[in-house]
Order: sequence, then structure tokens, then C-alpha cells
Amino acid sequence: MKLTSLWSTFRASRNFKWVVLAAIVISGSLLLLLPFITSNTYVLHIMISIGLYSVLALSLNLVTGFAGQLSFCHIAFYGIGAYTGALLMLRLNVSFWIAMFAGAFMAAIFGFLLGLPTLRLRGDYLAIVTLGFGEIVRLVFVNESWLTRGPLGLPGVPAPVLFGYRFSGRVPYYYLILVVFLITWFIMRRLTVSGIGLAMLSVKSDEIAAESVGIRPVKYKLMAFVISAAIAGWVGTFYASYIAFVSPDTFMYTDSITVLAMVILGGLGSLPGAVVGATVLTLIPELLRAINEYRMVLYGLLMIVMMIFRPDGFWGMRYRVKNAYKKTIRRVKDD
Amino acid sequence: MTNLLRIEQATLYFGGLRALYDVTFEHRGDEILALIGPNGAGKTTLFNSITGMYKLDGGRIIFQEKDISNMRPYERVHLGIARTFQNIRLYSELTVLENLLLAHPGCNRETIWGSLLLGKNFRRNRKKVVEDCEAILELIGLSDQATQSATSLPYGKQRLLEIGRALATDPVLLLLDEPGAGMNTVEKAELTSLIKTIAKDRKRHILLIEHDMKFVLNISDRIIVLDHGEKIAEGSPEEIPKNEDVVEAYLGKQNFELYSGHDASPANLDNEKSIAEEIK
Ligand SMILES: Nc1ncnc2c1ncn2[C@@H]1O[C@H](COP(=O)(O)OP(=O)(O)O)[C@@H](O)[C@H]1O
Ligand SMILES: [Mg+2]
Repeated sequence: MKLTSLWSTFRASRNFKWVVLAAIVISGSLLLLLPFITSNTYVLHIMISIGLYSVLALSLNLVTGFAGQLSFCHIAFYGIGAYTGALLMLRLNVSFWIAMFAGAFMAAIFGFLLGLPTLRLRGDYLAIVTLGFGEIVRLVFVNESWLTRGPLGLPGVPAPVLFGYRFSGRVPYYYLILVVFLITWFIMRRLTVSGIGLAMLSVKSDEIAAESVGIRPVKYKLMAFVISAAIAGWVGTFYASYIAFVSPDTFMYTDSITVLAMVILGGLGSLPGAVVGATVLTLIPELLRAINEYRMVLYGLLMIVMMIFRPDGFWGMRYRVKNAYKKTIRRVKDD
Repeated sequence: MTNLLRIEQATLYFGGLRALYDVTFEHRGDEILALIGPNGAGKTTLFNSITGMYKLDGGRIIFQEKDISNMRPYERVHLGIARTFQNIRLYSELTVLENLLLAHPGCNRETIWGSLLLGKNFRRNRKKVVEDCEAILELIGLSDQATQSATSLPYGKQRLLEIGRALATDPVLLLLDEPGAGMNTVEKAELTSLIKTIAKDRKRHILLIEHDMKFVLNISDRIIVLDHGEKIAEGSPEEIPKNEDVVEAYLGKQNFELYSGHDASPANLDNEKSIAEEIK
């Protein structure tokens, strides 16, 4: 409670703009220059993981935080993107850049196919169906070995080539995920402050009221599902190329739950929240390697503590920009 | 003669409970039509049927000569039917202005590409959406609260915001479910003039449910009376208070004078409220 009022005082103060600007410039240049500050591959790997999970959390946030649909199969779309991209690159020598979009496209198609019949289901039922879908996708990776080589996975996924330069080491991947992250952030930002974002929020909190003002709930749920799946598939191809290997056990339902936990702990319906959640939940297991077996217990505890003290997450809806929709037209001149 | 809205022999059951039975009436357009009746008479149920939340078990609903009985609620909104809720349903996570924006057709039909690219025409359209909604805020007197959370408003203002949100859909027909419930005398007087303004200046046709007889007689051009799901009377504000069936069924003889509003001192209004509570 106190933190919120502190925030609004700060927000209203004259310095707010400058502080935010300074924070963006400083953290932005730190992020840009990180590979020059440290050449520690471990640090870079952690940063790449944070970027990757931020993109996954941001995209899932559209479904769960905005359209209000619990989805337990986000990792399946990530996997579909990873396998699609890897297979195209390995079998058909398709360029990484094209494979990335193919991965996104394929995941979007599956998002649509799953969403069309199931999004009429509510709450728990949808959760169960998505859980099942995620497992089916994983089992396809395991069992269709003529295509996927089953549990052996697909090794040797090629690195991206940009203007004749073949990616090697962590640094180029670090910059690539930075770009992917910024594009995702941009898309999410524009969408969530638009009429689409408002309609999704209205579907989340009261479908009946939404319908009574002319909003068609299924349309917005489907839209959220497809966009979110596409972004997950997109970054899935990135992952395949970065690790140079895909296998079914990377795409377990527990990973879907981890991404969901990032969104919920970070703050449903908040973009900074998703990034904070992704960062915290990527760092915790790294910092606490020693007690890795108790990781899930720790997540559970963290969830309970959050439910009690900050039920809307680290950086939830309450910090959202008020009337952001109106702010997008400040620069339109009167005519 | 064509009517704006025609309810034909509407019948609806909730399990064994007959909530509507053979209800027939029409809204002729350019009138403020009131729907009254004791609690549980089926008024809200009728609204829910008109807006598509419930499907009728029998009968039809004709809007502008089109049978809308089987349309989804959002399709009926696109045709021009908007409503408010008796139990307020505003979005507490959103601001006052945002509650209107999301109802505006220009806002909730924005496309993905348009939102991403934010082109010039797109922003111009967005500007018009904001201006329309701000004009509505002006009309309902909530301009100063635009950035507040919708549910942080006092109760009476939340009711006004519900009306504003329905208006934002640019309706032909506006259905108001007990818009004055929980308001004091002053707020009710303001509400009366607001509804009249909406009807006259903004050319919206109005169908409203209301408990307060004084309010109803003052505002409406015609009145339909429901009791136990059936229409028991229809007539002008002059005729209805004199109708025997209405007096009998709806008001109970001893309270009638009080309700008809001939003597509406504050003491009586309080009394009226407590009777209304009792009925609930
Ligand atoms: N969804 C529902 N399920 C079952 N019964 C209902 C439902 N909605 C209303 N009813 C019943 O239908 C009757 C009419 O209710 P309603 O239309 O709300 O009355 P009014 O608005 O005139 O006070 C009441 O007896 C009420 O209990
Ligand atoms: Mg009612």
C-alpha cells in the first residue's frame, strides 16, 4: 500500500521524467556495452536466458495477464518454433532469418487450431486442455522419430549468418536476443495500450459486461493466443540455434509453469512486471544451485509469500499508465 | 406502422420458475418508455432477453423490423442496443475514461496492424474516439474524474458512468436498469434531466426500469407494468396510477398514495426506501 502511494507521489513529481530518462539511458548503455565490460561467458549466458524468458513471459502475459486465460502450454509453442526452425535449417538449408519467421508462423497456426475450439471453455477447463495440448506436442517430438529423431533430439542446428558473418560465441547471440526483446516489447506495448488491449482487459475481468458493449470475447482470446504463440515460436527458433540442439525434454510442462510463475509473480497485465518476473526466476536457480532439488519448493514458498504480501505481483497493474490510450495521440495536430 | 422494438409473446423459464409469460409490447421510438413492477416481476430478465444474455423459450424480439431473438449480445450492440446493469458492472482495474473508451466502436474495432503502425489516419480516428468519450464525460459530469479508477467513484456517479459507457457504444436504443437506485433526491433530479437530455438532444430512444414511482411518472411518456412475469397494464403516466390491477398487484393498496408521489416529502421518500428494502 505504502509503496503505491510513494510511487504516485514520485510519479507526479517534476523529477520523474528525468529520473526515468536517466534510468533508461544508464541501463540501456550498460546493456549495450555489457560484452565490452565483461567477457565472462557465464554472465552472458545468464543475460541471454533472461532475455529469452522475458520474451516468453511478455508473450504469455498477453494471454494470461490481459485476456485473462490460464495457459499451461506456452512452452509447447516455443518448442514448435524450435523444431520447425531447426528442421528447416537442418533438412532444407533454410536461412536462420527465414526459419525464425517460419517458426513463428507454425506456432501461430497451432495457437489458432488449439484456440478455436477450446477458448469457449472457462478457467479450469481451459487450463486442463492446454496442459494436455502441451503434453501431446512433447509426445509428438518424442514419438515421430522419422522427423524429430525422437528422444535423441536434433543436434547441430546451424548458427545464423548475417552479411557473411557466422555467429560464434555468446556475444552476437546476446545482441540478437536484445533486438528480439526490444521488438517484442514494442509489439506488446503498442498492442496493450490500444483498443485491443482494453478489450482484452475487459474480457479478463467481466465477459458479460464486455459483450454488453459490443466486444466479442472469443475474438480477443483467440487474438491473444495466436500473437502470443507466434512470439514464443519466434524465440523458439532463436533458442534452437543458440543451443545448437533441440530435444523433447526441453519442452516439459514444468517449463510452461515456470513461465506462468514469472508472469504471475511479476504482475499480471504489466510489461515491466513480466520482465522483472523473468529476471528474478531466472536468477534464483542460478544463485541457489546448491539447493537445486528444492527449487520447486522455493517457488511454492515464494508464491505463498507473494499471495500474502503482494497479491498483484512485484510490478502489477496498479502501476500501469493511466489513460495510456489517450497519450498515444498527443502528437496529432488539430486540423 | 413500424416500431423501434417489438416484444412478441416473450416467455422464459428458469427451471420451474416462470420468469416471463406471454409478454407483448412495443417501443414506438421517440419516447421514454418505462417498465415497472414489484421486485422479482421479471423486468431485469426481460432486459437480459432483449440484450441477448438469455434466450427466450417462446416468442420473438423484433428490433427495427429484424428478428434478433437468436443473436449474440455483442451483435445486438452493433445493431444499436445498449444497456446498463442494475448491479453495477464497471471495470475496477480501469480508469473512468477507459471504461468509456473500450465501449466506443472506433476503439474496440482497432486492428492489430493499425495499433502497431500508429499511422496518421489511425491516430486521427483515435483522437475522435477520445473526443467522443470526453464529450460523454462532460455530459455526465465526470470530466474531472477521468483518470480515477472507475470503482473509486461514489455509487451515484458509478451509475452515471454506466449510462456513459452505454452511450459510448453509440446506441439507437438505450436500456436503463434502475438508473436511480441508491441515489438521493438531488441526484435523482439531475438524473431525470440527464435522461431527458439524452433522449431529446442526443436522439436516443429509451426504455427504463425504475422503482421510484415519482421518478417514473415524471420522466416517462408511457408505462408498461409487469407482475409475476406477465404484463398487467400499459398506459400513460396519468392512467397507470389509477389502474386497479396495478394498484392491487404492484403497490399494495395502503402504500399507493405514497408511491404515486403526490406527497413526496423527504420523510416519505425515506419510508419508500425502507419499503423497497423490505421487498428485497
Ligand atoms: N439467472 C437466474 N436463474 C434463476 N432464476 C432467476 C435468474 N434471474 C432471475 N431469476 C428469477 O426470476 C425472477 C425475475 O427476476 P428479475 O427479472 O431479476 O426481477 P426484477 O428485475 O423485476 O426485480 C425472480 O424470481 C428471480 O429470482
Ligand atoms: Mg431487476
